[in-house]
Amino acid sequence: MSFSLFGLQVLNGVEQGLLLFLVASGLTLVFGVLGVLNFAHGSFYMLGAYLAFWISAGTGSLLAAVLIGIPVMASLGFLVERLAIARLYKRDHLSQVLLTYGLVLLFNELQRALFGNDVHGVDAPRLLAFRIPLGSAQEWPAYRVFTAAACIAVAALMRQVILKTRFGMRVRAGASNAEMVEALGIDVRKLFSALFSAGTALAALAGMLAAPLTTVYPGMGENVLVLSFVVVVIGGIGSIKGAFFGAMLVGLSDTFGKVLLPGLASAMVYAVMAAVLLVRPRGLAG
Amino acid sequence: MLETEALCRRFGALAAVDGVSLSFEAGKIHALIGPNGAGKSTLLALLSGELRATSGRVRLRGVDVTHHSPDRLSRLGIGRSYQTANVFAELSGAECVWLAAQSRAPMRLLSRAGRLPGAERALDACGLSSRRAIRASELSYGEQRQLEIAMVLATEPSLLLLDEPLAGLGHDEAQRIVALLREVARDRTMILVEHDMDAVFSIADTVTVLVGGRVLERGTPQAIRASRAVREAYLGEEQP
Amino acid sequence: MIRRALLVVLALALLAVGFTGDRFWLQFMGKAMIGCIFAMSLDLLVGYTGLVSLAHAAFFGISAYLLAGLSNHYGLVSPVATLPICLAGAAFAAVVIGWLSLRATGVYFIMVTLAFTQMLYYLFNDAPGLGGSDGLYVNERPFSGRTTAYFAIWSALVIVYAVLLRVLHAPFGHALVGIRVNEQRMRSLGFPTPRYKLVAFVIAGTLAGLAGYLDAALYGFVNPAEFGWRQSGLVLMTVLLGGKGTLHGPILGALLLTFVEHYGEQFTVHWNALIGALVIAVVLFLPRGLAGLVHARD
Repeated sequence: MSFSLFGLQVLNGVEQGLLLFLVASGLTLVFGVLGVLNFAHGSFYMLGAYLAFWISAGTGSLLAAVLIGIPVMASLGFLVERLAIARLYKRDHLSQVLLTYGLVLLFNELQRALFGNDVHGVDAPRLLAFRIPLGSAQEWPAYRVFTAAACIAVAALMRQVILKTRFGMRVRAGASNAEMVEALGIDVRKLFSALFSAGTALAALAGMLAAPLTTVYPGMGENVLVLSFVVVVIGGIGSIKGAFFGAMLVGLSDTFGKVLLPGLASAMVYAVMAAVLLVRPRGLAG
Repeated sequence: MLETEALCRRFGALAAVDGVSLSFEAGKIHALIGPNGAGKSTLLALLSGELRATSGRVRLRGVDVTHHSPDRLSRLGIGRSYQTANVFAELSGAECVWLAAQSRAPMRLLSRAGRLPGAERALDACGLSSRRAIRASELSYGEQRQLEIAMVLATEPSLLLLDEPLAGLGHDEAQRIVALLREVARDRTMILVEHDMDAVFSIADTVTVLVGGRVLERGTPQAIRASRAVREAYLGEEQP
Repeated sequence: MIRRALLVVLALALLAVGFTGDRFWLQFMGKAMIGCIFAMSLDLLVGYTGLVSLAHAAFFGISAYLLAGLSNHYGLVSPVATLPICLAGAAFAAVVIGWLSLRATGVYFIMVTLAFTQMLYYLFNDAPGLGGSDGLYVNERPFSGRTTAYFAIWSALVIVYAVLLRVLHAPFGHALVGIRVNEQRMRSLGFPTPRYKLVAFVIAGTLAGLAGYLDAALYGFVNPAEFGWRQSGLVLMTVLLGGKGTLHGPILGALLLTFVEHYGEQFTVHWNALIGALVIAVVLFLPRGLAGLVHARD
């Protein structure tokens, strides 16, 4: 592998990891604070991607799709939390798994009914439709650079919100001790709703950003969900920092797996997870 | 029998057990007392293997068992009861005790659970023979505590760790358990954490006072009762 | 007593179906009974031991693919040869996946089992020579004719029920329940609970392998969707629908779900939404399942 190819793979891995981080951070915080394992989290990613496809096909602008799609998805998250997830607090894991599994089936059918089973391409914004040369032999599409930058910006914003705002403080308190939040007299209902719809919006944003890169297809939510689980297992539940490192590890091992072991690419990520489990069963942060 | 050497357990910045070196002589009843948060329950959990020591050593009959798992320690003869009655609510009293006794047998996938002599002895010893068929959840609170002890006895331990066996019991029930403990301790070593001072001073051979995770004083009940340091740190508050 | 009588009646009714020779009903009830075995084996983990595993479809799929491989490449067909090999394969996979997954607890365990299932899905989907997402035909099936296959499935169901009943009433089964109720207590009583959980995981995985074997034998066809997490979710739902922690519950659940699936497919192309709505309704309104409904009445 030449040096420039190696560099390209690192960049691709990091970028994939960043997208995954947007999804996994919502998943891990929702579990850490609300105590609910949400299998439908991948569906939000999938719905985000389909919204990007649909709106950008109509308006010709991915930016418009993001600006319209994010509030739509945040509202959907709010509704889902109020109508379904809220009934799961204090229920056992089995109920959580199955109810959110039911939601996945519903969202999948919704997608099938609205968009069918076809794979759809989404155009990257025309402004970003050029390639950046990387060394002599490789080049990197500008849209990928933009995606990575956008993810980093969102992650930095998230960090500010979590460390500096009152909302962030409550989330941190909730992730370390859910009962304490109640004891502090914080309106838990509002906190939970807000956090859940924020997580939904993040997953959807990741789907929208990924749409031009991966195309839009049925079942894309499940793939991301399982990868996010691996991220959370590696990083430790409720830990944003863990989710970040986990996502990077998964992104890189997936990318390099595809180059180095093409036949076993998909297994690479799980091998990493198994290795982490052997050493630290509660995740790197646990 | 059991020794600890500079045993420590930290939870973040808090040292719940902070350099405890104790030796528990075989065949005696050892009481651990101290105010709330003194580290008694943490120490018990360290001895039973449920918590991992941050540093220090635990030795059982001279063998280092510091990082043994609870099931391994149990099979080495350390039996442990819990603060709250911790029996399996859906099983009958006899079934609970049989289940406990099964831990000593190899894993049995298909054979039926027979009556085990050890289990029967434990039921008898705890005075539950006549209540054997009643579901654990329907026993009185005192009986549930008896059952808790019976389950531990069914594993035929040589050392018993008891966490507040009298907590929440009325006078008569407490008397019954005290008598039971005396009986049980005849051929076993016992370490108990207990708040009921009358009971502690009447049955213990040695009393160890823990304060802030450290050993404040150790001695016979008489010596502890007479100790000025103990009075000031602990007894003085509760028994003026 | 009544329950036992009802189960005997049900078993005889299922046996009677075998004598009709009707193609549709043999296939349909055969599938339902395979679902019963699959769901009962999972209930050993979910309902009795308290382990929510999403890896169950993996063992079903491995065994089914093994049968296809043995039949297509080695000409091994007879159940005397293929059944032990397929079950051993499922058991081996269960040992490996169980050993790794059981290092994690609670919600980590759920995620890890799902991840391993998905890994196998990708492996079987991508591996050359396994037919990709289209799957494989089993060229020659272990049972000659549908009726023979049906009776084999019926016998397997009765045997699995009897074996599980025995296991659950043995000290081992009591220990599993003890682990579900309070694992810490069981450990301090001296039970090496990790070993108990692994053995339960392997028994359940092997029986899931039996279900997969019978499925491949009945249909003569395997495909990677059998590994999918939908499959794992569906069997989990079967257990909850019927009533976890009972043996007859999963049977009820599997029979009902087979009917719902079949007639749902005819009723609407969006029958998956129907299943989704059913899962949600069961979780919210019937947490103890159909069996719980029956118990509540007596």
